[in-house]
Amino acid sequence: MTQTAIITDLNRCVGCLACSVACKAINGVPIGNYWNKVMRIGPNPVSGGSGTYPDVYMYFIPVSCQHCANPECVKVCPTSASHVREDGTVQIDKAKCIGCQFCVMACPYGVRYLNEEELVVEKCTLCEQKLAEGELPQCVSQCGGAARFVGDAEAGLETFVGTYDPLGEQRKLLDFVEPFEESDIHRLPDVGNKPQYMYILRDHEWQGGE
Amino acid sequence: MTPQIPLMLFTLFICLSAGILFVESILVVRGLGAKTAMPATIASAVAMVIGGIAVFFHLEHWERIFNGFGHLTSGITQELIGIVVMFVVLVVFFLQARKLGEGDTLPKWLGWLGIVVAVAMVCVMSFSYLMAARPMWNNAMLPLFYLGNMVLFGALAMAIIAATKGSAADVDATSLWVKIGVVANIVLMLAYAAFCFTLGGNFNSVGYYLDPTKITEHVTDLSDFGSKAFTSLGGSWLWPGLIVGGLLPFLGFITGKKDAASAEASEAALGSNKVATMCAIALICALVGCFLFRGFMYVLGYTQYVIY
Repeated sequence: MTQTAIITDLNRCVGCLACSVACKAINGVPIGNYWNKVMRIGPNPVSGGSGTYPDVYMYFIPVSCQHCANPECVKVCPTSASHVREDGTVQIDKAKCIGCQFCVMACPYGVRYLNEEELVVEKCTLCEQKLAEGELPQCVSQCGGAARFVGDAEAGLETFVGTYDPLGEQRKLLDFVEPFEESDIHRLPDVGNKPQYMYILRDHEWQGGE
Repeated sequence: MTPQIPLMLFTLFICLSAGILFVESILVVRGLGAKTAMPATIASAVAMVIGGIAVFFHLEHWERIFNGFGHLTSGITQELIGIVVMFVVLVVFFLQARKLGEGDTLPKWLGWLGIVVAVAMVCVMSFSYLMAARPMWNNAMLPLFYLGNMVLFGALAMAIIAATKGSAADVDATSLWVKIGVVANIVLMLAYAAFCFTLGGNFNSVGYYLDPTKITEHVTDLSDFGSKAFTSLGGSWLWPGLIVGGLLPFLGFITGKKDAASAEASEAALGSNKVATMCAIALICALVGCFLFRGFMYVLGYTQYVIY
């Protein structure tokens, strides 16, 4: 089965918020709603350090729908408006959504919003309209640090591709980013939902649990 | 999380509806409750309708409710099935009550059915809030609290009905459940509040962080979740809820206990406006207080990954 997902190299993410802004622009995300939000984690003390500057570190993390393999939001939806597509992404059929917002409550990451105009719940679609056209999700194509890559998590990390370099060559995750270990790959906390987005973080302590 | 008033009213009135059915069913199993059956059935149905209307205000597109409605893993679908089943049982109670002659009693199987359905309804309703993402809800305290509500609301409502329409034996049997409900409710409320002290470790902390969309807000730190529950926002819902919904009915029960302890008292309570009024006041206090307690459960209903 396919499991489309995004992997972000947090050591490359510069916190420019370009992905957040691009997402809002391309998807018409209402004011006050965020399908993709870049959070700054830290400054937290380096273990064994003095506890104060310069013995601190921080990193930026883009958080959006994690397109979980066992999504809680899909389980609680009474009309199957929230569903898992064949490509493994979690989507919302707005015509079926009754706006009960149980999916908002059930999501561990708080990434679902009620659209106050349409009165339906929305979230990151992983730019399914662009993926269908063979394009990159907007947050990937406009990533200022070339830190985001999209691919099939089931097929392996070699399928993940990102932005195009100045010569027009598409960047491949494994060729482009600094080497990393399996232990450098993290996911947001799992309460049984099996989040599919991955984050690479080297030389820093991952915060927030897995 | 912002308190969801329609959902709070829904769970409140379903507890009342199921509670009335539960206590009436217990009377039926004991060979009592013939005179109270009709008013209890109507009261339970009215409470169910109020809860049902309230929950519709939560739905942004209720007109789409049959647009694919029926996903069985959804708590909402399960609640709807439960309500339909409970309504059918109430219809059976209504039809049986209409057939009752002088000295007749309702069949005991119907009492057992009513008990099972009432308890199952409250359990199904509470299970729909057991979400792994929200530590405050995802535990046994929530269904226990709702079951305590069911017993208290049902017993107080039935005490009013028994005092005005029932027999001395109905009053006597109901008073036992008032006692159980009053004690269980305050114990469960206190236990739920105390349970908050164990929840701090369930939240995933990232240390310091900055949300660029909320730059003027404090960092959310839930390591001291327990003390937060009793102060600040949690406390402003908890204390009024505990006092009005738990303590006042309990004090009322303690005060009236001496009067209600004997068979003579049960006879005296029949047709007594004082007893019915006291129980009505206690029921209103219980409903208001438990509504506020639900607000407490919502404002502390953080997701376990709280930074977003």
